[in-house]
Amino acid sequence: MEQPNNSRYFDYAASSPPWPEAIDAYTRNVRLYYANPSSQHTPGKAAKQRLLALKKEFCDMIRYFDGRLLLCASGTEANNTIIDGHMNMFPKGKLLIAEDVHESIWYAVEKYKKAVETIKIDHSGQLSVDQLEKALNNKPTLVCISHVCNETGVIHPVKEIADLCFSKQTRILIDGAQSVGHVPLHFDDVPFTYYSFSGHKFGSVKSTGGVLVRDDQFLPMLKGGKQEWGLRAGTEDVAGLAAMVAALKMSIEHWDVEKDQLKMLKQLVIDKLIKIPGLVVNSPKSSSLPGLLSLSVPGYSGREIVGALALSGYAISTGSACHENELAPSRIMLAMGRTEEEAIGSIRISMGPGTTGEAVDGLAEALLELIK
Amino acid sequence: MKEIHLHNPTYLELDDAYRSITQPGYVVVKSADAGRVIQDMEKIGFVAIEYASFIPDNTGHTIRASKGKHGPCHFTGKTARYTGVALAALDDDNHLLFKDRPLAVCDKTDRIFGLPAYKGLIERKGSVEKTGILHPDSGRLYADDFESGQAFLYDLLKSTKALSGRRKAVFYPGPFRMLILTDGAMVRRGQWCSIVQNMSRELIRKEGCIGADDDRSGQLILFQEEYKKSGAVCLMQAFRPEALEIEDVKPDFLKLGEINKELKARLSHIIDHQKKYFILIGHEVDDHLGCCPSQEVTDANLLVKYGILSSLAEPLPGDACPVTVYAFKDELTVSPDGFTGQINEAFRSRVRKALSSSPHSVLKKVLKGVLLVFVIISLGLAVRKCQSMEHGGQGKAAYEQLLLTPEDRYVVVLFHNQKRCYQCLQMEKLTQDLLTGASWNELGDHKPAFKTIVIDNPENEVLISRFGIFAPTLVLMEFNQGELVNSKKILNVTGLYRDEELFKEGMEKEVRRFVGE
Repeated sequence: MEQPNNSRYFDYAASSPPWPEAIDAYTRNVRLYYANPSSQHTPGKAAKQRLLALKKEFCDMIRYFDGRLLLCASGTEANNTIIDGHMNMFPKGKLLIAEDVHESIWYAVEKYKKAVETIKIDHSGQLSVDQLEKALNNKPTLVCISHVCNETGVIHPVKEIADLCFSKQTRILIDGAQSVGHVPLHFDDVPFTYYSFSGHKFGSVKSTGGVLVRDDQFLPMLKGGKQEWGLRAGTEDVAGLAAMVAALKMSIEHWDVEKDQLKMLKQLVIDKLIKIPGLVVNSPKSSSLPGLLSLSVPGYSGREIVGALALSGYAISTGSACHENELAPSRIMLAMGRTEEEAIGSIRISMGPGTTGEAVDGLAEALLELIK
Repeated sequence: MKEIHLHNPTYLELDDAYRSITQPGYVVVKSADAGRVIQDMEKIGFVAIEYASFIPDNTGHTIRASKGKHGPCHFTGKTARYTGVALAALDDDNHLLFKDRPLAVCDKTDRIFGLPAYKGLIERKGSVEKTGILHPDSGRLYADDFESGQAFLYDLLKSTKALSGRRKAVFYPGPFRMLILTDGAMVRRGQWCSIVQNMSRELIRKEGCIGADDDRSGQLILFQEEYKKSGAVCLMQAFRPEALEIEDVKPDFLKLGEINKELKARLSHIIDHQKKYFILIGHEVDDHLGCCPSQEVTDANLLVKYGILSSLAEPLPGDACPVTVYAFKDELTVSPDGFTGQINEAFRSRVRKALSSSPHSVLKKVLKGVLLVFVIISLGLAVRKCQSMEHGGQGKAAYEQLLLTPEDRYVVVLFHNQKRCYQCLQMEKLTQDLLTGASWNELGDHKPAFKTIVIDNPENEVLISRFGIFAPTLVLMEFNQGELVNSKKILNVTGLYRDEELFKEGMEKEVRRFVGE
């Protein structure tokens, strides 16, 4: 099989190159389990059994035994399903949303203006758990946070936060788009209500994702079928799930080696770029994703840097890939207390299994050349 | 979801339903193959499995089951007493409940026993005030109970033969995983068993069994035979040793000096008695979410890691408490039917040597000696104090704590720990047997009553120190108008608990002498 050259690819947080095993699993399953899992004939039943077996395998790998896996076509769909579904079921519901969530959650701040309160993040990107605790006294009906911030890579103490919400009997949605496949997960220990994820962020194929749900207190966004216990209409993607299972398995198998390697590469980038005047490292050294580095280069726009590096074959992104076409400064950077100049000059370098020290050297040199 | 209805589900559909129901939710299944569904449910981790509709309709049986337990163990002194018709019942978490004997359980298990399926079969009791808080190292509680409970059961049944008479096949749907009947017949959930007809009527009436209306033949398996053949693994859930864990490292015998004394005693015991394995139930203590955190499990796993022991863990359904078989390294051989053991005397003698010569053993011996002298002096002082003390004040407390009536003049009191051992259970059984005999009626109001006192219970502290109780002990007491006027510890008989005849003979002599016969 033809393999792409991804040595200059530094945008794993936007999308990871798929594991060959995930592609194999996809093609094998799309060929064998072509039937509709809802059909009552033999091939349909076989597809249903395969779907259930794959769901079990996926959930067992992350030690999630007491809830359901609801398949979606993306992390965005998963987040929208829960938030809109919640607000549709509880029209008087109140949302408590962290400032560093992805746009697929942040849209709710505009949409449900009067029903939203936000949780601040500090200079290092950490959520204020104290503020969250106080805000829980206002009796929100749904708390929304990210497990790992997609721009800075900050890892939030989800267990502590979920425990807090659990003790106040408040539902919580955790966006795990940047954490599944990137940090060890033991969900028998984290009492979340919903946990969303996106397959292509950890080496599955595109249009795969889902949300782990521990209750069914939301109205379906997609209607017109009884699939997924009536919570999401539409034929289930058995092959997509097979790809996610394979990708998760590979990510877990490689995790121990990867994390040390990525930490080392991240440090290498910082060491080489630290000489840039006014450079701000937005990702904290501890409690951040090993392969994700957010930097602010004052005096430059992130978009400008991304464009210039692309000419040299390097693929990085501004704060968030979803902001690529916007000139506005990064919302998350501003929330962290960065100046507008620093927020506009933020870039995200994210690495993965294919990243090499040589490529990191090349990227750093290209960046220094650009900025000197 | 609180309730899910399924029709002829596959294993995976049941598994999906298990994940989908919330606690205290349940699943209701209609199936023509109740046995298969029940066995699947058991593997997945469902509990409180029962027939929802007692008489199967034309679409098959309707089975109802609830989600199992979840999360860490909390002990607040709850007890459960099995009140059904069998001699003992084994639940989904390997609690072996003897009829009419309370067993300490964690709050999770207590909650499960509160489900409707257990109504009329389990009596739940207990609060912090009444029974005291159990030892936090709860794993030991169960680890001891599973094996020692079976040893006790075997002792009760070893000379029992299967009841003769017309037999009938019965199908037991649950909620217990297994019932062991008074003749030792094992009635396994989800299977047809052959039962003597009289007993089958009771099982149908009280335990929700179904009798065969055709001539199918059920299996007759006797616990005493299975236990004799394979030991305590005979009650493990479809024991399928999927992975024998042996660390490929040179044995580090020094690690034996680091383990807790209970495990040391256990290892010495299996060496002395030529046992091939031992079983522990529970998680390691660091696993704060685990069920029944146990120091013994923690230390045993350390010995696996350092090449002293090998272990076989049973595949866990749901959140069930882990059951692990431990044996000395290389003594276990796994086969498709289970495992076989081969004792390695040379290895065991090295273990024994290491156990008796831990690095600090000399220092320990010196300290033990000093401690012994101190204890002897303290005991001497305590005895003198007791002798000089009037029976009056504390006697009143004894009278109240034993819940006696003015008619109760002579009482045989068994002091026992919350955690019951085989000796203590046997002493209770034999003493009770003895005192219920008709020959005592001739004593009239001198006929002694039988009472028990829990040593670990803080509210019994006065009595415990009054009699200087440290271990299971039988004490004879005489009351007059609610005042304790005389007492005697029975010391020379308790050691005879393994021999029913000798024990009862000695006990009878002691009691008759005490009541002035």
